Amino acid sequence: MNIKLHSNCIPIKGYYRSIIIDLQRKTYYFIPNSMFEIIQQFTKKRITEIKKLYTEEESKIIDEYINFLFSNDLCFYYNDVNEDYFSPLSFDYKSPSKITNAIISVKSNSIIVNKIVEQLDKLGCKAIQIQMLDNIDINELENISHCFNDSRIRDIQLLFPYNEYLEKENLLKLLETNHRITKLFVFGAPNSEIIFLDEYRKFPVYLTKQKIENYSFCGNIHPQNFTCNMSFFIESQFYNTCLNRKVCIDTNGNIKNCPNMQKTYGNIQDTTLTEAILKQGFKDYWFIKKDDIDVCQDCEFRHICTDCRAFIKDPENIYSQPSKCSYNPYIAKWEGQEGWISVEEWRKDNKYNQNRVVES
Amino acid sequence: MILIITNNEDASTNDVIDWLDFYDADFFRINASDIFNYKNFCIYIDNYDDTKIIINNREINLKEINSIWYRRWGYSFNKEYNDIQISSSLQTEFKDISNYLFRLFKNIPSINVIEDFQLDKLTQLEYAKKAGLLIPDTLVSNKRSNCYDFIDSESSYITKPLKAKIYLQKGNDTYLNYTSQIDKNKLPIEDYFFPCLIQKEITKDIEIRTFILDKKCYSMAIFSQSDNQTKVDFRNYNLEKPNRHVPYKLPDEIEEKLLLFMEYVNLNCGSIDIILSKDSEYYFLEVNPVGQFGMVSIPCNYCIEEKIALKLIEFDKNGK
Repeated sequence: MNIKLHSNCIPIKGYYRSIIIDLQRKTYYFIPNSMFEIIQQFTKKRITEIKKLYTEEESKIIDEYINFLFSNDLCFYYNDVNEDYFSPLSFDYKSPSKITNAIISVKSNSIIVNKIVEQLDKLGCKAIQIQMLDNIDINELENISHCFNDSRIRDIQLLFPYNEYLEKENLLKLLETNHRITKLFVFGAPNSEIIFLDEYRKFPVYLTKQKIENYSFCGNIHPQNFTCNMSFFIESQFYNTCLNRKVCIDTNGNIKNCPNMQKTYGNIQDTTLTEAILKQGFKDYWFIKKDDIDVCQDCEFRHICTDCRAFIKDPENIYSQPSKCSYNPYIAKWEGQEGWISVEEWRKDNKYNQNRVVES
Repeated sequence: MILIITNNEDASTNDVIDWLDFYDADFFRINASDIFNYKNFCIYIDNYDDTKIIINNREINLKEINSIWYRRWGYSFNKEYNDIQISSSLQTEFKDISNYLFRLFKNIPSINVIEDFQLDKLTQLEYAKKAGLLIPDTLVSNKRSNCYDFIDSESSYITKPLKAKIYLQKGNDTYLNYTSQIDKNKLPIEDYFFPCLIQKEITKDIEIRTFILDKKCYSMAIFSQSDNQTKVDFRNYNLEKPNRHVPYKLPDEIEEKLLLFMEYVNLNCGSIDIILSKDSEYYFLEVNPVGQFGMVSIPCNYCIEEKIALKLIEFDKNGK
């Protein structure tokens, strides 16, 4: 008998600690790096053989590790007969969408939305976030969401300013009749809170006190924004976890990869989205994966964390860490936690060589 | 052109269509509900001209169709007509319209076959045996003494429907007839009863679901054994802690036998249920020609949706 991790439970090693990502149950577990090392040996040796390499004390710890893996259903025993048949999970990223998600910022009218639905459909776009900066009434919200009735968009998120005349019942009706709308964000509200429109708590609305005038609120790195699932994980192996197959249109109609980036690739008045994404440079950021990024490449969260290339620590270095990240993977602490120091301080103290070869 | 025969709520159809769009394929989707809802449907037969068929507002020209995907095809009248007699006679009318259409399409290369031409479980078992696969001992009988003779005290047994899924709605509860274990103390007391199927239960190590398309096997292991709720029928899902679903590669020898089985039953696509027993033997249970490939494709990242699209495109090209 020997032990194997289920192929959808994947250990990821960070500098200070590791995690096991459970892609099926969409969660992750912290493990010490010593446990990561033991797990690596499972594929080559039997448990009895592994234990021989360690002292009796250490063997007890190995037993604890194995207990932990079993109690969380992360591994299984297999016999020699069927050992080869549990094949690894393929990390091949495949998508029929040339663009998977879009962000549009609009001022006051739905005309622009109407105009681009067909273009997004042609690209196979599945998700859209629409940011409305001006005051909006329920009719306009309805008009905008109805633009997608015959489209292939499956997920609509709406961001709009607080308006005391927007009534709960109207919003509930909007969500009940348009199943594509998955999230409502309201900014400039009297309080920051999540309210539910119905008694079954199926329809949450996210309210924030923050006044929003552009898209600069975006790009925060926080455990709340971690995404623990198969498609995200697989995409992260080769592509940027925010910018890959994304297209944005700002309030002036400029087409960009991200609303917070300077470079534009034409205006929606005279350029189609298909034309824009084919322009040289549009896809440059799509291929910057977390394994290429300074600091992130040493972080255990690198395959569940959203990246940001618009706000980075060193604007001269496109491979530098997102500036809105306050995690230090070298000590496994978030800013505010006791004993936290910045990555820069830590590196100075530890004479860290940035150009070393990263072990995988 | 590719013709997709399906139901309007089938999400797997949308996933395959995404790939057809990606490859710029020429396709037309018809849903069973298109026959009844507010879309033009018409079959016109007279003494002079060729038959004219319109479905979903579009005239169907048989010469144009080179490729068909039979995904699903069904419609329930129960909700609209709260009367079992009315809905069952409407169902018969619908069936005849469907049979007429499918007969027209019969010689066009297709993925899957329509439900009416599908094989019963017993024939499947016979063909599986002929292909060299192991099957569980099976009895169908209406007589109590036969059941007693079949059942021995050492083993446990299960019962399941031969075909019909019973879907009972009582108030807010829904009842489904899953596969269930036989309680030997609760066998019928009557000498004769409605024929039922009894099968020797195979002691599971894992369950395997193999999707076959175009002579290729895509298998997934289901660790249903460790959970009491899913031990007998994994469809009795544990939503809190779902069974592990991971990629699996069957031994070549078993794959060859499964492909031979598919040849015998004349299917180019289907989902096969297999059990790997505690003593490391593979047992064939049944094939479902319109099985959910999404439940194998997504957890194992096999991208079966793209493979179905490419096969349909290949049929279409060959027909041009």
